[in-house]
Amino acid sequence: MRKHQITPYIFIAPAILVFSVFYIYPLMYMGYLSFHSWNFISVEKPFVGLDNYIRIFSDPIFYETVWNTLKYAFFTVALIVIIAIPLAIWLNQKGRIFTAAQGAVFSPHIISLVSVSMIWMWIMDVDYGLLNWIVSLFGVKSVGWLTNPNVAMYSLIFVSVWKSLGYYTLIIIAALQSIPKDLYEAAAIDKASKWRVFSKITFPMLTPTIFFISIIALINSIQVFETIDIMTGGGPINSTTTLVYYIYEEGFNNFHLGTASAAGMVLLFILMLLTILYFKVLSNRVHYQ
Amino acid sequence: MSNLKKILTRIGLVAVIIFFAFPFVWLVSSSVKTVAETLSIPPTLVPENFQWNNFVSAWNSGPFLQFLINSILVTFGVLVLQVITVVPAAYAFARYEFTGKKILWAITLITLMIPLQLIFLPVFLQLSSWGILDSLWGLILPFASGAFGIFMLRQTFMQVPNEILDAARLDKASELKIVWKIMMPLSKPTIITMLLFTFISRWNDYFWPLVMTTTENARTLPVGVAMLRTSETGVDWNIVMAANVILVIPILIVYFFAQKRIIQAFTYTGVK
Amino acid sequence: MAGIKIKNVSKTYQNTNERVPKRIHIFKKKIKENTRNVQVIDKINLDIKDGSFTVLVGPSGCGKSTMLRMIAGLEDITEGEVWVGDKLVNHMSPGDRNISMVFQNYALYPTMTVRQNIEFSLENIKVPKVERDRMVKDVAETVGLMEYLDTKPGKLSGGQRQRVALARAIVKRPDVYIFDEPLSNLDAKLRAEMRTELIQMHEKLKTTFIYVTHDQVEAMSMADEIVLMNRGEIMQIGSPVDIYNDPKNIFVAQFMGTPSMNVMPIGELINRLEPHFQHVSYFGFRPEKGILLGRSILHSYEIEIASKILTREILGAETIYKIENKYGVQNIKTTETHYSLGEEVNLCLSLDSLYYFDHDEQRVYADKTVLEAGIS
Repeated sequence: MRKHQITPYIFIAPAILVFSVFYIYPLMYMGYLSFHSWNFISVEKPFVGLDNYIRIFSDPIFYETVWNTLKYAFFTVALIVIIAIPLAIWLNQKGRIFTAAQGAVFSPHIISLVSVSMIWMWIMDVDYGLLNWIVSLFGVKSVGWLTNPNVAMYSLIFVSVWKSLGYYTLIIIAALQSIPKDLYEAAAIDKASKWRVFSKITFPMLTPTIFFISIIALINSIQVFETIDIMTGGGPINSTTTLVYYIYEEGFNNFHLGTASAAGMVLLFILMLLTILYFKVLSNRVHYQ
Repeated sequence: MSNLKKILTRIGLVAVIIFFAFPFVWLVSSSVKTVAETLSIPPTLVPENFQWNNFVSAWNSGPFLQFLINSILVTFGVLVLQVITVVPAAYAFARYEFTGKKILWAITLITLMIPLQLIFLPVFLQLSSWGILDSLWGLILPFASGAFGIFMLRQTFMQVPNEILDAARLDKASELKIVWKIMMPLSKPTIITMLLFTFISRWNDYFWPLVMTTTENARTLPVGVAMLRTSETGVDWNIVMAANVILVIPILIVYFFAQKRIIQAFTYTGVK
Repeated sequence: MAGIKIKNVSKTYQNTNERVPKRIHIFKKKIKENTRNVQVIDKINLDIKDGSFTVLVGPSGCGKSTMLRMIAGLEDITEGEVWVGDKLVNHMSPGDRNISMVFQNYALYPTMTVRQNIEFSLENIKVPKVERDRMVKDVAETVGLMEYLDTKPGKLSGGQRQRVALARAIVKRPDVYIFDEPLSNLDAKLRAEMRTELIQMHEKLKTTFIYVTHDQVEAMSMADEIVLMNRGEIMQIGSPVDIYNDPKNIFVAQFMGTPSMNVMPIGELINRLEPHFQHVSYFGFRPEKGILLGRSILHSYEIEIASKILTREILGAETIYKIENKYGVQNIKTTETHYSLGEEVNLCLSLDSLYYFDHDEQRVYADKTVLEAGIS
């Protein structure tokens, strides 16, 4: 309706204002800063070309950081997808104990990562933690879950899988429940085996959901910060420093705003690349109804 | 055979429940122990003496009242602003054709893809140049609208039959009245989902208040609780756990009673 | 109360701005080549008399709903003028036109009770509470909804919802009522009932009714005046009897009546017309005008055509036969039930039951000039 033409703009303006000011403009400003040198205080922000990029790419710690980020993301997403599908199929049954199990699996998702991190930090404490007491019952010497550079990353991956597994499992359960029952009835009439029912009906019908959760899990795990900040502080010896944590350290502790921004641009690039890759590789294998 | 299978299933389910619920039990158990008992080997599950005082000590170990008030103000401030900005925007995107719609929608979608963890640095600089760093505004304004909410609500609004809007227009209802009186009540489940999402993410958030505050003035509960892990006298795990109980238990209690609804709300978005 | 004048109205959808409703038939001849505009209403003139019951009828996608929505103000008018009474309403918003509309899917507000649904429009024009309550009560009594006032529409049956929609329309005391296929979601029995009720309602209110339907039975049974549309143009305007008995073209002839009129190429029948009617290309007759008689029986109809029974459909009071002959396949409606499939019969017609059409499918009045001689 032509006479309402001004209305949509008024309706959208507040939201777009927020997006422009707090998302779009900062993103561009970050791009600008990545080509400049600045330390918060100085008035001048000299243009330095690609210096910041050259600096981070000649920093071995940065490579380690990128590697850590990818390792963390890969294991988290893989574990979630591998565990969540069978778990969802198993828990998708009627009965109080199944409902209770679904509730329990989901519960960490609504709890603050701060508390989740601190509870596990306490359980994983080298000297007095519950976990080391349990492994000692099996005759294993105490493990530095968060203090051993070879182990710490995997402990963090474990905690983040523990926290978010329930969310993804319940999404798959919801998807399972939306698969039309008559498909299964038809398969039963056709005498399909359990495995064939899974591989020919359930799994193809789940592919859009699996696609959705893996992309969400990936984007989430690449931004990991809180567990690291609380549980390991990036250590021991940078073994758990990921990109966001690196940017945080560079920006807020070392005041290298230029290099921090350059690292941010790298993170943006990785996110974009992975998203595109995902869509390219997976989209033609995904069955949409 | 089927009996054995049944028993194994039961055992499996109980194991799953313990795996996910036990850390919370351990949290509560630790929170009422003495320091000495937290360090005892073998550990005890039920403490000998319940140290209710731990909660008082935890509460007094920092300006927790301030943190609590800040948390409440930030969370509810964001909720109110989101309703005001998200609902009309979603309506306009769902129900109007206008010049520039594509560009504005693209901006919304881009926003959906940009994590705040990516751009906190420039936002920080911006807030500091406006002088609202270390204030509640810095924790509220960036979340005053939500691309995700607009996205979800637009889907819902598009499903409302055109005829109902036509009827309302013939009944001389203003556009704003259509939004509040017809679209909103029709989209209750989506709006509840959106608010629940926002509530949980703001209430639990650690990253943003950590980055955007420099003093205790504007810090929220999660930041306050997290600070306890680095005390100079060494970590008293019983006190730390007591503080976490204060942070966690209210949400767990709400979850216990509204579990079905909450799970529905969260999984609602996964399957269209 | 008001009549409606529609002057030279056109409607064009511009692809860039407004989306063409899916149901609208896109006719390619009207898509201009350089623009991507689609014209769905083409320069229509129409005069709807105050207090009349006018039915716009036509196949789906003919533009009748678009017409209706332009009158209601739900659709912009690309060109021309729409007058309600003595007001030019082109630029008035729907709420200001004092028009009530009853929709196909009722369009009740699902989250409001029946009462709130009915009084929503009154609230919007700030009618005081006391007045409102009285008006709601009056109208609820009229349509028999008193006991459901505090129920939500979801709990009502189809017929009851339809009543709520009517109540909501009546309570506004509009100048014009508009109905957009309001009965198409009801089952056959309820539809017949509601049809009677609407006719009675119109008699009582004496307000202008504009009613859109694709169902010619509805049009025939309810209208004072039928406006038959096709492809964005008006085919014919007239009373139901006029339209049925005196169709102006093949489209009208075939649209009205079930089964529709049998229309065939004129064939050798052309020889029976005067020489100056050589441009007649088609002839037609209504299924109920055809008479089937056994081959062996002697009779003297003006036209007798040897035919064969193809199918038989017994409807109870009447039977429909599909027959085949040298002119093609035709439907015949009769009370006879005894002809069997494959039986050879004679199709008998009287000359005055025939209609003639020219090459452009327009009616040719050749009835009275058929040569009496040469009949065999």
